[in-house]
Amino acid sequence: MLLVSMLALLFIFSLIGMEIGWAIGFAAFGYLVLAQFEPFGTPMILFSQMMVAGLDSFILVAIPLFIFMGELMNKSGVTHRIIDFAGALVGHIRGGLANVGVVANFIMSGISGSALADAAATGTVLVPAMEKRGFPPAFSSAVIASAATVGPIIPPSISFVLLGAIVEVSVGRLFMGGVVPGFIMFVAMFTLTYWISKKNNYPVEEKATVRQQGNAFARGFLPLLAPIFVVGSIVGGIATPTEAAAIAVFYTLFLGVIVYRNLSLPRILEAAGLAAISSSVIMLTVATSQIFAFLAVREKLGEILTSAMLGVSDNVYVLLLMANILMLFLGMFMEILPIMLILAPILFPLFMKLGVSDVHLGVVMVLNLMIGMITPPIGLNLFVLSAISKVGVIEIFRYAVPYFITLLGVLMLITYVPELTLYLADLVIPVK
Amino acid sequence: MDESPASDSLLARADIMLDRALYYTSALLLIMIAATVMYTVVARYVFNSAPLWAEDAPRVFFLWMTYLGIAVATRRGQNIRVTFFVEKMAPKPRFYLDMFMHFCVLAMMVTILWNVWPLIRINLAGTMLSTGWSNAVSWFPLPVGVALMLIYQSRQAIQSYRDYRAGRFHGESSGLNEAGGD
Repeated sequence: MLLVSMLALLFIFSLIGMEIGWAIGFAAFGYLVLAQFEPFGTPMILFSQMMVAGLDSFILVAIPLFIFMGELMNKSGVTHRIIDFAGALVGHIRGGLANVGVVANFIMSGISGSALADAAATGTVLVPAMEKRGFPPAFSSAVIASAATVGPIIPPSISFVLLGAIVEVSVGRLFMGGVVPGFIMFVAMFTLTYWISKKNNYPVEEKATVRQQGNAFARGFLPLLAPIFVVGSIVGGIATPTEAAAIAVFYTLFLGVIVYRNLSLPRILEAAGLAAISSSVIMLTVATSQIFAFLAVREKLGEILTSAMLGVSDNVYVLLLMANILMLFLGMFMEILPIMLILAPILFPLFMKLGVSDVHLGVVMVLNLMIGMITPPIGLNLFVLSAISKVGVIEIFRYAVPYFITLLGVLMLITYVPELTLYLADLVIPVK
Repeated sequence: MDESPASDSLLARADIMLDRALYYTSALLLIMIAATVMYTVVARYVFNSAPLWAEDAPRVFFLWMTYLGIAVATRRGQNIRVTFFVEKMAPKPRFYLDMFMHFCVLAMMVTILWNVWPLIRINLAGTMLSTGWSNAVSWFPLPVGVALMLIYQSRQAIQSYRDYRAGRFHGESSGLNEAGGD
């Protein structure tokens, strides 16, 4: 009864517009209030205790640092450099600026680690430019919203860092596990954009000369080293994910202050302020989700869910399909962090007992949740692009349907061919 | 209560100054996190001795940054929320719903504040071995941040009420304007 009330409060308050972090907290708070009427009810002090204990973790410190790096990259004009580079590379191919968006997001994914940040950064530049070139704004928004979903799959990834903290999976292995699936997503979306653009006769850009391509590459080359430093230092055992994030921050500062000379102290402070606020909003959700997850586990939500799934089938492939459907459904209505924080402690033990690798399941989970970012009613990438293009969320989704179907295809491939995820992870960081 | 333009303007200035102070403190804390973590890496590989506080100090800075940052996000209405469904509602039910949600969040904040003091009292007794700081430094950000959020949430509720009375309510109780909101 208490569990049902908590789940109902979560859905109702999320949907009626309470801040997501507080809606999750209020569902847990409602549980605790109702529990006071029961013998041996959970003490209310648990709420305050977990608001601190849930965040007191060194690995979570990596998240504001990755966001800070992304903000510094934006302030030092890296987004423009990467878009120029992508334009010189593929602007002349059918799909023109639309495929520039796909390539730019693929490159950005190695820098920011956040789908929302990538969608906002590339959308702000490309959507108006695409509109000028004659692309329908809803299509431009759909392409960017979909292309940005690759962000948390390619390392570094804030989602993988968080997942590593929740279920104690090696972040380095998760990072490696995301490389091939991320590349498959990129190829699938690039091909789809090419096909749609050819069918609709969308414009292409003039082909850049070899010299122009070389110049664009030179301008965009140094920022491309940031993800190599991050992944290299983790994989090489030189640094923890948090330390790797700090190294990336200082590398970005080096680029902005010494190389590009466009990062002044006020701009650095501004970037730090923006990153601190964005990270705090995420952390509020993390803190309240942990209380919610703790209470859900205490109420045996894991066992209920597990027995319901095993009641349908004990075949691991069917169970994976059910887990995918559950995550896709929840992804339509909830933000990704609470889903991850609530479901990961339930699904990981079940699937690991069935012999599914934690890294494989982690990549499948994040990919599911990324698809949720382009599905209404609560697809955050759609909201970001809607704010940029002033086109309605549903209209953008109409154009995003082919991308949604393509990403579902990629999801099925990644789910049922675990080698695609595990080959590189096992090769670079073998399980001890 | 004195509501003269002069006192209003003074309050508004104080409000903006507090907002900026919190914003830049959060920013500086993040820079301190980056610097201390980077120093740890350098110390480990260059001086062959990582400091004892390598993980504890950044974690404390992180908790302070987070709770001060959440307060700023609350004031500026930067928290993530879903407005897809409420946007379709008429102003009156939307106003009542808005007020109800403010009440729920405020009740939750008061409960958090009430229950954090015993935790702080317990932690005041111990110190972190690595830094020598009281264990309570990790717990103080919560009441400080929540108290600030309590103020900002209350002011947003008052602003929504005033907007509704003046026929200006659009259901966007997201953030206070630069003049102080209320």
